[in-house]
Amino acid sequence: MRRGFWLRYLGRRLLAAVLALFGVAVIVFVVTRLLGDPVELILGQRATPEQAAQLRAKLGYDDPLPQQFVRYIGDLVQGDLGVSNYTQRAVTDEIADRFPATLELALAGMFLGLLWTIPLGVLAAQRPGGWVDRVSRAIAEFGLAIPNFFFGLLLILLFAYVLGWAPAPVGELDIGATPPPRVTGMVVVDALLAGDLSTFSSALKYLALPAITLAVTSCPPILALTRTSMITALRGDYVRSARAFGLPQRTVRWYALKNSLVPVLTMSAMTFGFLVGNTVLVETVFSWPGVGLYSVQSMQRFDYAPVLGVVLLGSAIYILVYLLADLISMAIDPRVREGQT
Amino acid sequence: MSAEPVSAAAWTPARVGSRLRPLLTPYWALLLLFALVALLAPLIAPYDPIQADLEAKLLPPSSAHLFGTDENGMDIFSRVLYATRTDLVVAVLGVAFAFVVGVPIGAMCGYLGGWLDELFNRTSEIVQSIPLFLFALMIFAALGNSKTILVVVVAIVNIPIFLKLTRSVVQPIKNQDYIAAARLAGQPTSRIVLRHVLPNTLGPIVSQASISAAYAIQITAGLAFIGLGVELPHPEWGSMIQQGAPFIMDGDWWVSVFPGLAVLLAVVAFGGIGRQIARRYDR
Amino acid sequence: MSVAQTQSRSVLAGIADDPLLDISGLVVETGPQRAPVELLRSIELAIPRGARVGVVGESGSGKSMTASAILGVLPDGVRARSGTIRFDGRDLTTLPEREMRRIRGGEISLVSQNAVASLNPLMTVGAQIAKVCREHTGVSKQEAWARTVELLDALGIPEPDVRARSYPHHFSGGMAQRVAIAMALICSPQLVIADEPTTGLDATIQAQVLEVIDGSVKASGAALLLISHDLAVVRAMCDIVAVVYAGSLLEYGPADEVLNRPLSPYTQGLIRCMDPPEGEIAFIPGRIPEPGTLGAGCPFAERCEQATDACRAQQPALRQLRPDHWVSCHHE
Repeated sequence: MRRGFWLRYLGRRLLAAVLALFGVAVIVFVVTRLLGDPVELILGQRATPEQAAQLRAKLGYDDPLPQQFVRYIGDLVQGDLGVSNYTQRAVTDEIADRFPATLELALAGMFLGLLWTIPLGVLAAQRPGGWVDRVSRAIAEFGLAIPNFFFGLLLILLFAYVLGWAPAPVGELDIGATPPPRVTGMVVVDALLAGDLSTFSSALKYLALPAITLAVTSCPPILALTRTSMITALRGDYVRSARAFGLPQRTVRWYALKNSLVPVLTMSAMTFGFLVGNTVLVETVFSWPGVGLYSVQSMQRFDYAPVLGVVLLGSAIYILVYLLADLISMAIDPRVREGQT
Repeated sequence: MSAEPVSAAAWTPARVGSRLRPLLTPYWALLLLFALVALLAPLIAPYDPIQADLEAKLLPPSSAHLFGTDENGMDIFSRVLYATRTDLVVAVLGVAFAFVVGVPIGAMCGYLGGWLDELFNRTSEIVQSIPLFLFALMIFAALGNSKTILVVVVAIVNIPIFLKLTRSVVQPIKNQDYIAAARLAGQPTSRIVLRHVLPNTLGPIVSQASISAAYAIQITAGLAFIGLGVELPHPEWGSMIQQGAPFIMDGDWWVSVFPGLAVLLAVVAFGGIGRQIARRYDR
Repeated sequence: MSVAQTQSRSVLAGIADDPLLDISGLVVETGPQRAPVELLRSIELAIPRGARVGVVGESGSGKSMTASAILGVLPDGVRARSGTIRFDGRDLTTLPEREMRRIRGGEISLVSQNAVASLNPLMTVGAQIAKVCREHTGVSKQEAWARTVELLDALGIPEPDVRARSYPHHFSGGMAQRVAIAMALICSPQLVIADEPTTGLDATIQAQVLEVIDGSVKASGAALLLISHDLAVVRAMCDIVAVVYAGSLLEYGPADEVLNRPLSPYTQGLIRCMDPPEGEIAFIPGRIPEPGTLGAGCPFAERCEQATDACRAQQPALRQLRPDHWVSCHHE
């Protein structure tokens, strides 16, 4: 019975995710074809009227909208995101080249983010109003308020210029350095896999500042939520009961933490999904060769197909991550599992 | 939520006065400072913000140039002052527009429920699945690069937020007795929503408006940083930060730092006020 | 203010040689340092070994607070300012935390009102009970699990090895309470505190749960401290009854004595409410006073028909008016 239930639930959620993605595709279609001029999008603003008319006919933009829409969805399903006007390569290929860098950055940022927010949140919850609580809330407020690109610049100023600990923001590696053989596309991982320790440490140094920027500016909500969840959990009757049975403090804390995991996990997943799609500014500051920087560069070159491709990719990842978070919270909390019948 | 229902007729001077007393916090002072700067920039600024002076390139802060000069010799202090207008106006306009569209629709959805509610709710969720900056890029790509589009982007991004929030605060209220009484008295739906439902839900919504304004300033600066929404050499905090970015590694920090601090302070002010309002209504 | 107890043992200790637990002059307060609010006002209690003491009182009388004080798990901001709690020769109020932890669950255990809420929703009940067992006895995981299943079986839970692998929310009220009782008994404590164990349960289930408590406590030879606002429950289960009002002990003695020949006007009122004369609905006018609003006199003075100025002026001391029967009242 349980296996069947899981499959059915998974099926339902996958369908919901696909529908959501479809909805995003519809919005992209509406915005670009109905509100904007798709030909202009492809040719850029410097197209002549003849070129425009030619391309319009060739690409079928003269056809009635429903037909265009069907073709559009058909292309998407086959993974065809169009062609970059700048390089004439398929957008899908361009994005695939650059996506691992964004993923690497998002993962590193997430890792550092959880590393600082969850322990602080737990500590702050144990003595609300205490100095740990107040200091961590101040840091969180600061992290949220400061623009992430500005914080990145400040980090560069302090650590690269003043202290010289970090390298100049030129991307993933030194200019002219040979990247390790491409396995995952993530330089840090690939260097490790190839056993190239000097490249590995160099890549880490380049990853540090942008990852810290993301960790500090995107993760404060996790701190607040961990704190609140822990406070609620610590007030729970079962906590009082655990203490009344003489269980040691660390066991009681673990009981409370397990119970606050579900909302924290959901928020962490949402933050990760948010991170992957919103590395645009941080990548720009650090010249990090990911899809965020690529979309900005494409905008500057009036090459719009890649931008739309990145939009769809970013949305797909966000929806997928949200789904995963849901599934994991089901795995942890038996009550969530059974509320789904 | 406050226990006693309020109707629009209850905005007496005493009530308004009691609401105004907590204005004496540092966040409000900061906001007032920004508002004054925005209004009086032409009077306070020592230099013309777009007057280039190639003799005075990249000068560090001094008594002549409080915040130093940028690569075109323009006085950064004056530019930061004038930029206050741009950033604040865009943020406030965008949020106001989102408010005016999102709140009534959200209230209707929350109150009426049904397919209308489903439709708007699903649409909001889908729009919110698109990463913020990528969404902005897409709008700019489709509609062109101008300050107007910037306001539109800020608005579109916030409409789902106001919609969902209003919906969630209206839903628990719609079944309360005083609403039922109004319905029995034959009042039309729109009137019920406007005069009875909304005044009791304003707290969290106004709080959100302030917080949205804070994020709107960040978004505006961020988009300007990548060249969207600004008209160079018009002063704007984000584009000023971008101008100063190449000089950080040379140690010429002032070009980016001062506008960055301005953004930070503005966000802190709006955010602090928003949270303060939220705390009052949590009781 | 109440008359201070100069000895560290309660006057009530006279009810038995060497009682298992005696509380003397316990003051529990809350609130800011400069304006504390007293929740327990120099309360007294004695529990002889193996006895069943019932503590009755209205909601807000301080019954549960006494249980929390005994176990040393008072809520944040609430502290025991003075008085002693002697358990098996040791003063619990001065014991270091490490020692208290050993006593909690090991020698004194608690059965709370809402069993499902006091169990960790994310762990199987068997795992939770076994954890308590291992914590206090140090036996192996398998041994602890075996003992858990055995105890669940003894308490009347069908298919105990299967149910032990279930989660708390799978259990209905009565079954959940048996689980809570199992957790309280797994380490064979000397004293079991049952705080409103049947409140909120259906009448038939109530009777079952009480039977389970009765049987298991009898079998293990532990003493029972049963806290309830329901006189009928206390009458059915207890040998000794303590009547508590607004943080003070008003009457204490053998159940038969206190319930059939009550000395305190408050007890008399309570019994009348439980068992009103034919055709009457009885109640005690007024409400239990809020903590911190009480003056120097008897706490019940406001609602007492027999109250005099002496009652309002000074809190009466606990006097043994009949053999083993104490009361705090100025009248005979």
